[in-house]
Amino acid sequence: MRVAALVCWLLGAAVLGYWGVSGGGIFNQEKRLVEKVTVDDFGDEVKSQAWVEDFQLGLLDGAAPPAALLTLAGAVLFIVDLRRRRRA
Amino acid sequence: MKCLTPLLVAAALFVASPASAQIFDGDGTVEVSVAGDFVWLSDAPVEKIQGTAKGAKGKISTLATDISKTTGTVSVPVENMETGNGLRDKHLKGSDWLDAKAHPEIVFTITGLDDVKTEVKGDVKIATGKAQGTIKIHGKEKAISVPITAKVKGDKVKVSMKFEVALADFAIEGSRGAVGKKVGETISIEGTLTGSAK
Repeated sequence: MRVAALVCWLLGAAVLGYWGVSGGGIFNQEKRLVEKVTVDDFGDEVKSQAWVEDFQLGLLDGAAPPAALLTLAGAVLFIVDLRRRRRA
Repeated sequence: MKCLTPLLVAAALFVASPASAQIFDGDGTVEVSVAGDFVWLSDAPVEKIQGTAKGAKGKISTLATDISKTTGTVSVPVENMETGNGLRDKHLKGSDWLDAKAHPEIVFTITGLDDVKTEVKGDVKIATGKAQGTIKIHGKEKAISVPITAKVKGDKVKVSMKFEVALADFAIEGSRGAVGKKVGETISIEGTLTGSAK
């Protein structure tokens, strides 16, 4: 049961790690704004923006709920295991 | 062939001569149909939201001899606004925010240009100034002064602008407590419009 608790915590940490790696935004982002620089007829560098499909996990509507659940599950498993060991 | 030569010369001259130069060098009214895109940024403590407002269209009219007399309107469909998050886009266009159903367009009406400075760099005429007028967002209209840079090359025109709007000026309250925390109280807007003069 301790191993299961540890796995839960590790998974929770992995979810938060993935959130951090994928931008660390507060909310999910389904598209990313990509800038393209071109030179226009006036000889100026012009930035044009376009949305491209690129999911970035957000915290509140993405990573936080599963990370919280996994942490909680890990804590419950750990406490149950601790009680069992004490009884034994 | 001899009789064709003058025609070919005339055709070559027609192609080579920029009609546009005459448009802006004349003394009449110049009409420009413009189109372009805007990007905007909400910088709030909780998050930064970058968005686009594509498909802006407008008509600008000016005097070749006095561009301070520029007038026109530019409108942007609210429906085209995007933030890269479908749910957020839905909220943005909903009744708590821009209310796209009731107010489908953001309209910038130009009534004149102030502080106009002009210069010529090669074959590009450059004018900077402040476009005076009103901006109508969410059905509320407010006077605004927008710094612009206009460039003219031949019959091609490019107008760039950068300005800020305060949501409170347009009665945009948003969902409870969001403005100032999740969404900036002011929104920075940047855009370029291009078009051809007639």
